[in-house]
Amino acid sequence: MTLKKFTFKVLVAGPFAAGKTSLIAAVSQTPVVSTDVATSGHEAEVKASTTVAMDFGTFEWVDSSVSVKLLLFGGPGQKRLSFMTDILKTDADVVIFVVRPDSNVDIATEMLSDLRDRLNSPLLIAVNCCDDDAVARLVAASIGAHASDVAVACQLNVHARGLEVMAAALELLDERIMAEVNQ
Amino acid sequence: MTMSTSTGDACLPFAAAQPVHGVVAHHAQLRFSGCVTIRTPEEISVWFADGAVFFADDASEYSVADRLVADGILDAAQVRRATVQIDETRSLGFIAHRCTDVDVHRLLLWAELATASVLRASADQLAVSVESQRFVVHPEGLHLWQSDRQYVSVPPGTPSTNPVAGPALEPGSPQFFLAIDAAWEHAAAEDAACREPAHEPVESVDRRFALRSLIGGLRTRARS
Repeated sequence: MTLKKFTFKVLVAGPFAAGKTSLIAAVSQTPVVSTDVATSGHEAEVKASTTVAMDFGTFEWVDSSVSVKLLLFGGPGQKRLSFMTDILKTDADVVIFVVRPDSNVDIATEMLSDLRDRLNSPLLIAVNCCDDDAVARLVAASIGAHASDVAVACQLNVHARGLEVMAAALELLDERIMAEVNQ
Repeated sequence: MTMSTSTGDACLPFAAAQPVHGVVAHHAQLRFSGCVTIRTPEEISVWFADGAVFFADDASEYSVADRLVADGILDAAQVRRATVQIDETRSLGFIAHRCTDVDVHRLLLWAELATASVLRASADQLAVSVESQRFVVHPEGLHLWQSDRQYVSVPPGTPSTNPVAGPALEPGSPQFFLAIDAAWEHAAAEDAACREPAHEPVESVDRRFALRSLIGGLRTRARS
């Protein structure tokens, strides 16, 4: 029996050091192709390296009748590199915006606003380093998330939590497809 | 069960005599869906979907079914299986749905040639009377004829004052046949669209199934 093959593209965006690369690394079954470079200046005080173009990972799931491949793209977190995220978001099936409660609110707000501009894909806000969904919703609201946006709390340094965030984002895509079919 | 209508605007009566191509253009402009019977005094019937002609037939002594058999498009057994008859009303609509061994492409080409032949032969003849009957298009492919039949007698020689009809195309001109070709293609697309079953497209079903499987896979991995 020939397996039907499907591919879904996920974009992971968010401010610097929020946990985007960690999320991709948690889900990817292949070594994450990274374009990290050593940080300098004040960024070096936060982390040793940062993504300048994109991270890329894959996840593949095969069952009895389908083969599904997930392509995971992570955009850079710095404003000066935001053009990469604009390119990556054009054909993403779903977008995950990763933020931490201690992320710079102004930067995160601007990034989320830019991301939402001309975005046609479902959006999940993943609040990293957070254990409470109610707190996650407050964090999301503080950076300009809409009331209808879905925000989830997560600990992306835990492998399983990354997988759950990805599953939650794909649920939004499933709902979007359902809604389009029912229109 | 939902029903969508595709009747276009109400059929306006003609205030003036028109050649057949003018009548066709008039109904095209109205985005008419239904059957227009034109007497010149020979009778032709032109079927429209949203203003596009998808079939035309003259009052031949042979039925469409007989001609399909005579031209080798269908055999007698296929005609029997494809025909829906209630009392004296016989329909060959959606043949390919009821008779899956029909060569649909030969059938469509035959219908296209028959339509072009009828319109070409009658295009520049003056319409003596025009009878329009609208129909609605059901998503599952049933054409339900509406009851508001309109019948307009046109005295020959009356000067044209119809404000709706646009500039008539010269019968037999390349533009005339290009318009018919475009109308045919449009009607074929419309027809294909209305044949789609009223449920999720297969692609969406497959995609959702794959997505659900993937989500299950991720959750399984997360638990393990």
